[in-house]
Amino acid sequence: MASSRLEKIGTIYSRVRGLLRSGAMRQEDKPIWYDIYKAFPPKYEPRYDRPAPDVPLRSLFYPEDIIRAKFHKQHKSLPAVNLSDQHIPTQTQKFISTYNKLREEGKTVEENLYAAAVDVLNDERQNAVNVPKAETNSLASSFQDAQRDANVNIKDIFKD
Amino acid sequence: MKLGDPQGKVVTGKIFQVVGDDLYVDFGWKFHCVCPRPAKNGSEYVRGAKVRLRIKELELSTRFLGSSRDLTLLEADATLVGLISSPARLPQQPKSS
Repeated sequence: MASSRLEKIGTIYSRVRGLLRSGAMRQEDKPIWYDIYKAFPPKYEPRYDRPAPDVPLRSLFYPEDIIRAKFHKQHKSLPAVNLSDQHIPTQTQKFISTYNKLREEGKTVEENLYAAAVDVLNDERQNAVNVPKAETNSLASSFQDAQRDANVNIKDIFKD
Repeated sequence: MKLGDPQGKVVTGKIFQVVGDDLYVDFGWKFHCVCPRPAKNGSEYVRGAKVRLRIKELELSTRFLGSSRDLTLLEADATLVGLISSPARLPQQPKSS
C-alpha cells in the first residue's frame, strides 16, 4: 500500500512519502515539490475521490474580444500565425494595438474607430509591400550593383 | 490567445516525423497534427520542412456512446495548405546578369 503509484490511492504526497520511506524512490529522485508540500500543505487534500467544488464559473472575456471578433468576421483569410515565436505580432494583435492607440488619441469618433483602424492597417500593409522592393539586400544583387557601378579609373585612384 | 476562434485559422508548423505518407506536424500548440502527404511536390515534405496549416480542431476528442468521459486522441486536426520551406528543396541559384 505504501509503495503504490496508482493515482486512486491516497494523495500524491502520501504515495511519494511511502515510496521514499520504503526505498523504492531514492532521495536524489525526490520531486522538487515534496519539501514545499511538506512545509506548506494545501487547504484541501488532493484525494482522487474529492468532489469538484460547485463554484459559479466566471466567463473569461476581455474588452478587446469584441473588436477581435468583428475583425475576424470581416477578414476570413489572415496571414499565417507562427505560434512558436511570441515576439512577432500577428495581424490581429497589430489591429488591436492600432485600435487602442487611436482610441487613446481621442481624435476619431467612436463609430469611426474601427474603420480608421482598418485604414491604418491597410496603409501599413501597402508600405510594407513597397519598401522591400527598394531595399533588396541580397549578396547577389549587391554584387551585381557593384559590378555595374565600378567605373574605376586606375589613373585617378591616387588623385585626391 | 493569438488566434481567437481557432477554427479556420492558418498557422505555420514544422514537420518533426514522417511515417510513410503520414506527416506529423508541430505548430506550437499542445498537440501535434497528422496530415497525409499531398500529391503535389510530395518528396519535399521531409523532417524539418515548414508548412502552412489550416486548423479544423485543436483537439480530436469526443464522447462515445455509453462512456462517461470523453476520449481524446491527443492530436489536433488540420489540413495542409502549402509548403513554406523544405530542406529537401535545393536553394535557388541567383540569376547572373
